[in-house]
Amino acid sequence: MAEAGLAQLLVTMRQALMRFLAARGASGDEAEDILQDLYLKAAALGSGPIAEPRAYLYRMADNLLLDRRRAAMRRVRREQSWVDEQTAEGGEADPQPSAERGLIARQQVEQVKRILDALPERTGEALRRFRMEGQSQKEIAAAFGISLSAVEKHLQRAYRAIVECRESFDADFAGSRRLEGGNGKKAIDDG
Amino acid sequence: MTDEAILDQAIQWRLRLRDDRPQDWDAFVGWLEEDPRHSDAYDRAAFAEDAADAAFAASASVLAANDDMPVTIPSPRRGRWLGIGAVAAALIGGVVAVPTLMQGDAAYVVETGPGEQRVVTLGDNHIVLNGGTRLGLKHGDDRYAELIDGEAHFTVEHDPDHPFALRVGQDEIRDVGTSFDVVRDAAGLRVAVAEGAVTFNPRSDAIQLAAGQELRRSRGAGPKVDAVAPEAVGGWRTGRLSYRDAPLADVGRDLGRALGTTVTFAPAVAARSFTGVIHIDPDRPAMLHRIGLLLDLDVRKDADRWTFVPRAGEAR
Repeated sequence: MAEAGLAQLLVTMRQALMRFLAARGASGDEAEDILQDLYLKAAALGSGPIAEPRAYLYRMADNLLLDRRRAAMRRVRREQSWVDEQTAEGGEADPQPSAERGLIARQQVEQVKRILDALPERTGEALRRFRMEGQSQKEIAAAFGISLSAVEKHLQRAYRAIVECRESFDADFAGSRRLEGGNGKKAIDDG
Repeated sequence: MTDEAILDQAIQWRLRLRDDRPQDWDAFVGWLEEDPRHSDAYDRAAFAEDAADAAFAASASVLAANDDMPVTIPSPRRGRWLGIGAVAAALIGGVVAVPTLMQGDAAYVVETGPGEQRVVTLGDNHIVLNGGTRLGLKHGDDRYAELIDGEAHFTVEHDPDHPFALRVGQDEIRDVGTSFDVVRDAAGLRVAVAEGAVTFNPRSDAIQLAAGQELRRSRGAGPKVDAVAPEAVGGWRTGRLSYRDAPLADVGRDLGRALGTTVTFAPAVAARSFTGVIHIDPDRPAMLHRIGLLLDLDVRKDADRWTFVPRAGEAR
């Protein structure tokens, strides 16, 4: 049986994963931290029911990196809105500093909902199945009776619409500020 | 290359990588190394998914809401997840408000797909969801959970003033500081304690279960308490299923959860008992064939369903 397990595989894949994380813009320290986290998870899983262990480790490394960037974006937003509140209130602390942020987050969700509703029906439905039901492109193609490449086109259109919506929203609310990710060298393109 | 074209490629990669083909990841590294803008564009595609998920979750909670029961829109609470999901990690729509199942204002459900595992951290408590499991939780209450369906392993900090309460259908399990495993499926309910102790239905049965004890209750029958090896409890988290005199029907359900498929035993053999340890192997067909050899049964595959049947009369 596959007793070698994920942790063992991680040891042999270390160079490949470091290279991947570097290509994803992670610093050396960040990549080391991510591999450490990944090692703990892999050790806990042993040789669990994972179909493609190599792809799984790449994916987990990527997920850990994305989680760090999400946390960094939240931090920047929090700090920025705190600074705004301090400035607006002339140095007085806002009694409900998080209410404003919650409102902005809800407005953004509403805006993305409107974008999704405005998509052609099939496009929106393909995205819903892909994200919410975890269906593969193949399963969606079978359900719709269309080709794989047609499914890919639907999904691509949906992703693009959301990227544009998110970035115009960020631009509106952040003004000329850049909401930067964790690697300090991101330049979000307002396109 | 224009930024537009790069974004299109990045989205294509994001879509394709979900199929978990190792060679795609190798090629993806090559693409990233071509141009530093590629990685940034890929982030934008990934974060678009967050926005889409939040919008879908908000729509679902609105659809599920009753007129008389206001529902707060759940936020995806990314920070709380340690995504130990297997194949479809972080992809199954996990967060949907279900006001009909639980009273209270901010209930949401965490789900795993077949064969997937996931860790949920609530304050100091850790819950590992096995495949095909639905767990109901409440925002702002980290001492409450409801196992709607499937199997989960709970490691909870004991707080005498605020015990951890787990609902399973009409039953309640209350911790006394512990690590325990609960299954709810078509066959009934099973609670096994690895460490500490729990109370089963504190207000009615008030059965105390200590480490190394297991309670089983089949549909329509009364609860029965048996011994269980504490170190075997929750072994599925590391791909290890241990049994002592367990009916094969139970083994089949556990295998199904672990492998993300349906595994059944023909009626003629389902009640046979099994003692031993099964290591889950990612090579599903090879593993099921080995189990067949071990049990002296034939295994048949029909669509996505595996059935163990008595050996055919003639030698193979």
